[in-house]
Amino acid sequence: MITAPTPANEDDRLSALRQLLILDTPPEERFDRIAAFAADEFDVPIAVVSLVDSERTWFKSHCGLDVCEAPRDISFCGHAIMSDEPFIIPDATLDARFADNPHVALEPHVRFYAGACLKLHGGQNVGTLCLFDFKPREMDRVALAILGTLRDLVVEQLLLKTAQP
Amino acid sequence: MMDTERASGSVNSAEILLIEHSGMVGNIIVSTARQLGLPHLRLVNNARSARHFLAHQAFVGLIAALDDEEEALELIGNLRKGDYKSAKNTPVAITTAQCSADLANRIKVLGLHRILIKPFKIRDLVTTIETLTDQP
Repeated sequence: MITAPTPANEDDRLSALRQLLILDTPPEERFDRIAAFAADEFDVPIAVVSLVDSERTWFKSHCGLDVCEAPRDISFCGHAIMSDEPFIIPDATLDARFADNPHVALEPHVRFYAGACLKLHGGQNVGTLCLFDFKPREMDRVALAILGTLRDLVVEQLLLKTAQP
Repeated sequence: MMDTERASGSVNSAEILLIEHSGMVGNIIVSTARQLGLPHLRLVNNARSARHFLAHQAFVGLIAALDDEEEALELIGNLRKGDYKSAKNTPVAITTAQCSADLANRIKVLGLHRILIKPFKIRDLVTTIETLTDQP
């Protein structure tokens, strides 16, 4: 397994994340709605709005997942924030970075991951809108466009100071 | 022929009129279509707004949610009669929560190209947009 690397702009990234004042806040319908929409649209069991903190990935919304955070070093999202492009792992068991990852080798046996970066205006990738499945999958151009659109909605909501009535 | 000429004379760019009551769903469709380079979508949230746009602009397609069924069907009927700037044979798709036998009979005469049952996938709507714009 290759642990999630640290971006070169980590300090700036964490500062931007914390300025959002969203870590450890209660669930909100405006994010849950987008995550649920993503799970339905892509027919995946899990869709998450994930924010990559210093030592953990914290989930603002976690449709289909009971836990609200996970260690960063074994997270898929920790890898995903290294690039602005969508991070797609069609079959984690065939990928050297993830084949022996505990999320893959043990329960819940993740096979597929797709994450689109939550990029702020300052260029910091603070997290992802991501999909998980327990079977291998592919993402075509239409799927990537839809994921990108949903990601944009999440970023729009992150930048709102408070939930709209 | 006359309809086609009339439509093409007033089309500035290939636009499809989309009636979708859910702002979130509508915005997802519009943004995804933009990312895929599909024809521009003009989004309105009810048939009344759609009527206004149809009166002033020709569209190459119409995708209408039937949430306000009577008004939407009347609008499509008017389009087929040539009451708007768009061609009478403009491709039309509808989205509806259910398609009863009664509704099926009513829409049969309207020459629809596609019916999507809600909740539909955005992917299916994208395919519908491509289908509408592929019409000869």
